[in-house]
Amino acid sequence: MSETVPGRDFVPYEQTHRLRPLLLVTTIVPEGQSGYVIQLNNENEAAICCVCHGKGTISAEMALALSLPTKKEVVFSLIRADRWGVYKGQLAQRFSVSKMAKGIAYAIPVDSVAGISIYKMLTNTRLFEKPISAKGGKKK
Amino acid sequence: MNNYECITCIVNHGYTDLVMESAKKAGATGGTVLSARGTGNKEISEFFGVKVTPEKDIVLILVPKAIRDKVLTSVNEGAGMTTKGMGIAFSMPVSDVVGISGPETTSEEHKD
Repeated sequence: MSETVPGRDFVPYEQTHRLRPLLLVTTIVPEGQSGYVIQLNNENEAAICCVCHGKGTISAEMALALSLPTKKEVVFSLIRADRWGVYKGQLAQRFSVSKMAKGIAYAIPVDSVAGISIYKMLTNTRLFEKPISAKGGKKK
Repeated sequence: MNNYECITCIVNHGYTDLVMESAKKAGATGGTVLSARGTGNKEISEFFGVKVTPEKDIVLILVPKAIRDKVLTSVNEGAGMTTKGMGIAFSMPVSDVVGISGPETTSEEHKD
């Protein structure tokens, strides 16, 4: 079903507005430390933050010998690409605190989002943001 | 772009060892296991009115791009659809990584 208004040409949103790329960030930390990660995500305007319980694949004997925690918390979040640098720096600082605070995080670029309003919610864009050009061309 | 890839493998519950053994054989160092639930209707059975949904495990493995194909092939052989794990594996490009210690693996090191 077409969403175009009768008598008006359809112009894709990306042609009239400046896009803010999104990243799906996965942060894996030892159990009980996801609170700090969530706080960092909130500071960096992440719209969605989801925590799952997981476990590392290191053997129980090895974990005991190295006194490493095997239970993990995996935080999935969607943040804007321009906030990743700040978030990464904060995480690197956190991971360097001690051996017990070590974790990893990685970002996967998001290709597309279903729905302009959802995209605006995820990127924290104002609802009635003005287009960059009235005729649909990109601003030079 | 970063030199890493995220390999995601979905297997039947309890068969993560098959995945990790295969991945480690191909050069992966470690992974993280998440619990999940399958949604395939065929597998859902009912015992005395209680629905039993198939339990799954998701294994996330971060590997250098140079060994991605090797790991995927090894996981497919060790824990693929022809094994008890009935696993599927796929990889996603990672744009950036934080928290990985040690030197990054170059493609020359894995050129065998």
